[in-house]
Amino acid sequence: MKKVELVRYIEKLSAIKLTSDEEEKFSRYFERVIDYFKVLNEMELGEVEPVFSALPMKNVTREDRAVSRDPEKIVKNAPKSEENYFKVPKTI
Amino acid sequence: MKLEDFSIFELSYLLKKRQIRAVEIVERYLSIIEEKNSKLNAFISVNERALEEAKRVDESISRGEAIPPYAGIPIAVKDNINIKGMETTCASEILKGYIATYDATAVRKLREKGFIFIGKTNMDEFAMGSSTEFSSFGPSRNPHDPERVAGGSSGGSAVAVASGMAQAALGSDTGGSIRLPASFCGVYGLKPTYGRVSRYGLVAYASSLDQIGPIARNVEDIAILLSVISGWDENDSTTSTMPVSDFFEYIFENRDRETYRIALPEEYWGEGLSIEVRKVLEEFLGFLKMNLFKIEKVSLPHTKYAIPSYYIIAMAEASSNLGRFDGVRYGRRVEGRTFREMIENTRGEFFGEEVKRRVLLGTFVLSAGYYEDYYLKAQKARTLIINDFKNIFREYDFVLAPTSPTLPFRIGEKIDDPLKMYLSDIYTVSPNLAGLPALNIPVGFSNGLPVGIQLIGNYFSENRMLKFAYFVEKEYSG
Repeated sequence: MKKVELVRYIEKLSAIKLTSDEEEKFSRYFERVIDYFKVLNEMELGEVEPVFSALPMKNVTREDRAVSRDPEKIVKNAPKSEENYFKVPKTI
Repeated sequence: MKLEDFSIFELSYLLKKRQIRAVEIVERYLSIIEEKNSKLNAFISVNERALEEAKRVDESISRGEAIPPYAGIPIAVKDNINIKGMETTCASEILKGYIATYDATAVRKLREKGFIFIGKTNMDEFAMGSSTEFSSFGPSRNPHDPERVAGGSSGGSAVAVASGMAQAALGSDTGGSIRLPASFCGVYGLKPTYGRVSRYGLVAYASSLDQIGPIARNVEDIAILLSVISGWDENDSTTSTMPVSDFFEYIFENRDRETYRIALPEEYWGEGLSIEVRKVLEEFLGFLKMNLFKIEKVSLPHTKYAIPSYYIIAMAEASSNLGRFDGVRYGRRVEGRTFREMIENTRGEFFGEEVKRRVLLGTFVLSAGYYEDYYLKAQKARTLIINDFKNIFREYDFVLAPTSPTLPFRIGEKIDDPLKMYLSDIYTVSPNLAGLPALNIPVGFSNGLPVGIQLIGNYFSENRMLKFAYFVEKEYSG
């Protein structure tokens, strides 16, 4: 993939609209930082198990119960709402 | 003695003995905020009800009612931690106007013990940064030299504590965000063991690394705050069920002299460390040797891979966590022709530059075809970094390392070079990757600027770390 195509692809995946100036800046940054990340390739990691948390974790469940959270206040935080609903652009 | 020279314990004692009123305490802190905040930019918002709450404490005392142990003590809270009824901005344009509808668990616990929240502090946007320059409210300034950075991302909290605008503060630490500003501002700052403190109500940056922790002017206050905020929480499945001791009581009652075994990893004391910082730290090591502590050089061989692993993991987790900012449920929105376009426009317009960089790069390292090359490798390197520390803690009580490679740098010095900024965290990211507790202890000055040392302990050894820090505070710093 060409550099500019790759940046646009990541933009889409991230759902972030960049200006063309930002695309230019980001692609320079991107190249430099990815290059720096490549230091990890020096390591022999074949047999090493990855960890996704520093301490061993197990799934914890709790009783599912409703808590009252004042829906009016929650909806009031939304940029657009109607009654007690979030309002978004038409999707279909 | 000035009011802000007292500890939490002393102020609470004076309050109960009716030698001081809660209103006097809060008024004093508000007046320091009034005097200093316009210059230092520590606070994003100040709690307008703080004085009213203090009045209620005084009324309870005068009626002879029982009051919670720390009633009336003003605490500052980083602006990524929810306080019900107050704005939580994370120093981002995208969240401006968001009023928290619930208390974070750490906040609820402090509230139950009577603490008063004096305000919300400045930070790098979504805690992504090492200098508080990536705040949409402008940088916080270092109280020791306002032309220099406060460190980040909990810069506002460290400045508030160091300049006497709050008794103590909460910060959050993902890769050094409590310890680095504590070091730059000359105060204590603790990142607890992962899982010690609930993250419920903390706006997530990188969930496997984030911890809330205290920043304070003395070890006693750190111990009190840690005791209050620690413990299992049904709303955070990563909190530990380990019993929580009363850290304040522990350091108070265990004042016997111990002979600690201390490891100095050579990777942290090499050429990257500036001469000014090294000089102050070596003087401190001399003090430890005089006290006959066993101090030995060791190696943490995978340290070199900590920074790239950290940034890959943190950015990956951030790209997922920040997905919730979509212009639907909170904050601000830029309209678009479609639902999708609205989301892209909103995030493009209101996320700051550094946040965009990290979300974009985090998305990349998780994307098909690249996941194995970056994210998976980083998580494997993380295993090796954890094992390095486990080996050391078989033979040593603590690891000592610098908190920062340099003195606080000038505002603007690193802002245009993200990679240079990332390297400010070179000594602080490993404890986050390993989940270990780490504490900044201020140990001196160079050219009028504070220098801190980083004490890294084994899992859940905060009591012993604080005992060590208390000894240092009394025998060396004090």
